[in-house]
Amino acid sequence: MKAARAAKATLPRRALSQLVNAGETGALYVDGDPGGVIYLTEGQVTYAESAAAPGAGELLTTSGRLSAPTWDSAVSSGKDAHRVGRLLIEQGHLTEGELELCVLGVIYDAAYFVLQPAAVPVRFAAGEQHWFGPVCRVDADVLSKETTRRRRLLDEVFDSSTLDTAPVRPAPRPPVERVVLSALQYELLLAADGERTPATLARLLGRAGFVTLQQVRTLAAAGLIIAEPEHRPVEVSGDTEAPDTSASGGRVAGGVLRAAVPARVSAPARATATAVVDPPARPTIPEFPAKPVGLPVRPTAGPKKPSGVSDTEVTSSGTESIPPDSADLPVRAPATDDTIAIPVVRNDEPKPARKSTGGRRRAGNRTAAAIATENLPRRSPGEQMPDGAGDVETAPDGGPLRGDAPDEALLTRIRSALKALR
Amino acid sequence: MSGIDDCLRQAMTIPGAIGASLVDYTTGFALGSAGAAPGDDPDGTATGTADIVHAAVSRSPFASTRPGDGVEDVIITTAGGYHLIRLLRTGFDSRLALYLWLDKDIGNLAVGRRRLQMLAEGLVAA
Repeated sequence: MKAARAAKATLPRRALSQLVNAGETGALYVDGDPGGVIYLTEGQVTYAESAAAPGAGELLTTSGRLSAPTWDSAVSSGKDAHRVGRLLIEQGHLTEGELELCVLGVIYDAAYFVLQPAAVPVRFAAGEQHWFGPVCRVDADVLSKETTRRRRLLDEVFDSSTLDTAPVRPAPRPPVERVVLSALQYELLLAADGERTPATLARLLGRAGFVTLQQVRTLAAAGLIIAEPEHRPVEVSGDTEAPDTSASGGRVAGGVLRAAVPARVSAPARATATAVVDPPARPTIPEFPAKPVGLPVRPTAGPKKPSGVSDTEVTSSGTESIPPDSADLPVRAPATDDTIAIPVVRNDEPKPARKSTGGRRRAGNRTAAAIATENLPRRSPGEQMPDGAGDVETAPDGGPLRGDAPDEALLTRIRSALKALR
Repeated sequence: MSGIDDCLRQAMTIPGAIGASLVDYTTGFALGSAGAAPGDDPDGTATGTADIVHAAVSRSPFASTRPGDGVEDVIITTAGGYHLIRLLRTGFDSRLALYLWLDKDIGNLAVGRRRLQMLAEGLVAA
């Protein structure tokens, strides 16, 4: 009966569609991990099985829908005639609807694992039928399409196939204070012992294989379940990130989660996240002196509106509008508060420098590049300055006096420009 | 002949029925359907049904206000119709729902709901 037709590596899906087009009847054996068998009747799928998907018997008995003896006797008396399913209906153990729903579920579930998108050795045993017997028929194209869709759904939950085959166990500590679980998730967490893979969990619990994968990934995305260390190096390094050597149990969580990326989660993940956040803020500090343009601007904005200043600083990085300000400011005496306020946010070092030296002097201290930028803008605003000059508050430093009025106008312009930028 | 097809055929005899389908709400996939689908989009109907069931069952507290409580069906009324979603309880692991689209003028919500309930029960129990 098992006339092996082909044994070379092909995409299971392609092999299936060939057989379907030819209207074949028989069993398509697909190797690989987990692999499985798809049974065809006249070009339509009538059954499928895979090691990763519980079969009809497992679904019906683990759930308690059928007792094990009932199932066993139906199998023993019906398998030779390929009518185990029929027998269960005839004996009144199941309704037609139940049987169909069960078998349909099994077919789609197993097909997901059999029709993996990788070329594997396949062979076709013409004429071979599953002992369960035909219950319903599924169009192979619909089946293929649905498996593709399921694969995508799974990746949307949590894009890491590592967890599909690795032994899993609950994360030692939930990453959040309050955890809400579905019934299935609860079962999974209870049964995940660090040795069972999702496939074994599915069979143990009598839950569909795909649903188990889906829920394991959901739990992983929430930081509640992790892969056992032994498995990680292989898969993680293959897939993505720096291979965490499996050495430490505690690090496991971190490794898995890192692969997970979704920031939602675990304690380790959070720790790294905060660590990441800090550095970016600090590096900017040293840059301040380096950015001549940036410095002057802040003082300008700062004087009038200290509160707003900090914002502008952050957003502004030496843009065109800034140079003019820088030119004006140094001339006028910057209010000490302002100058202080800005640097304080970032760094303490600039502070003393500004206080001690007036705007002008500061300019002198600056790098040539800084001065150059200052000069350029200074001209035009500088000419207008004299109008209001002389009056108002002179800089404490005793720097040259400038009217406040022009500054005001400039400041408002700058502010609005900055606002627009924001 | 077929339990599922038969069930859907009977669903279409409910007064005002425009379309019916059996949806696996794990993945939003229609295992079977009859009649029309809203927007001529059977796939969208299936995924939409799945979304709604998820919202009702797992993302809201309505489903378990007291011990033993659980969602039976979800009803959406629109200006032109009723959309009934009846959860199917099987003895084995499954996540299935019957969906029924009723015309609002011809259909009767109470009758439709009752008939759908009977169909759902008939499908999984002799």
